[in-house]
Amino acid sequence: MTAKKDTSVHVRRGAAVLALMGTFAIAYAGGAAAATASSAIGITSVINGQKFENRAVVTVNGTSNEGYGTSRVRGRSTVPSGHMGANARLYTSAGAIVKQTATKYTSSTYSANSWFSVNTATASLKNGTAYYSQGTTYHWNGSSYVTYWTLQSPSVTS
Amino acid sequence: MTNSRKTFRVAAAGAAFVGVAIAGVLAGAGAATGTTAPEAVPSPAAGAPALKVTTPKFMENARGETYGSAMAVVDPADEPDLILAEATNGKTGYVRASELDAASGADISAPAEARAWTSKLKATKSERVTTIPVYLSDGRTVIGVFEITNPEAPAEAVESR
Repeated sequence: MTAKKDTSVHVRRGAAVLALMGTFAIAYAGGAAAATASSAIGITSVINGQKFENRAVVTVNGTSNEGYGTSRVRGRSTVPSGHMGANARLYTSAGAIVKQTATKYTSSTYSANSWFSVNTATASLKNGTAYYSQGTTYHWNGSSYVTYWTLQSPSVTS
Repeated sequence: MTNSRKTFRVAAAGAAFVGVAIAGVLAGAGAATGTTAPEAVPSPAAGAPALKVTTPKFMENARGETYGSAMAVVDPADEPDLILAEATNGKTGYVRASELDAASGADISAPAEARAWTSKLKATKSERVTTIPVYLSDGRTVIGVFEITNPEAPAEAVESR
């Protein structure tokens, strides 16, 4: 795996700015201990005959001061093995990457409308610091992988 | 990353911007009427007018490498050469984008390769796949390491179906 990304073929359509305006939800579970915030769902253009949806989620546990980021992607139709992948990042609100996963690809046929999720490792968080998540999703178009960013999740303070 | 990639036209961004703006209006209306705003950001329609999007201006080190945060980057292709990151020792520095891509499997080029890569992740029981250096902005001085974690590690692998 030494090939560099072919930037002339890969389509990248990040939408970080949109996250600032996107619809989001913050849910609290177990009292005020855990907070989860999700980005709006992003939708790709048609790739290999179908559109995909993706989103980023950040989960912070204020009691243990731990958190992680999640990247999710799904096809509207069945996705063949190896044709879809994702990785996830957890950022501080200052924009530093705290955690990043390796990219995980579908290893079998994936059902339509089923979320394929990738979690970062759990990070020890700094008290009072806000964190958000964003991921990258990969889609085989028949000749190369088309790459999209998820929208950014809202920030959640530890 | 070449300067020619710093500015680009993305019809999608313009159309999506409009889409989200509409969603925002709908959200406002929804608060008043009890309806729910759409959650999805629609893809742009074909032929939508292009919007000129300018990427963030990054600083350059003596080697001509750009460095900064990926936070405000709209297109992954426009990430700086050195991306702001926290090392495992808590120090803040920069990881080299090319090293991050290679270490994380982001440069996979075919489904067969992707399947082999994922099988390798599954076979790796460790949470850590590998580490890459964290540099000062000079791109030379190493101040720590950054971990690429394994989403297939037993405690972390989650597939919500």
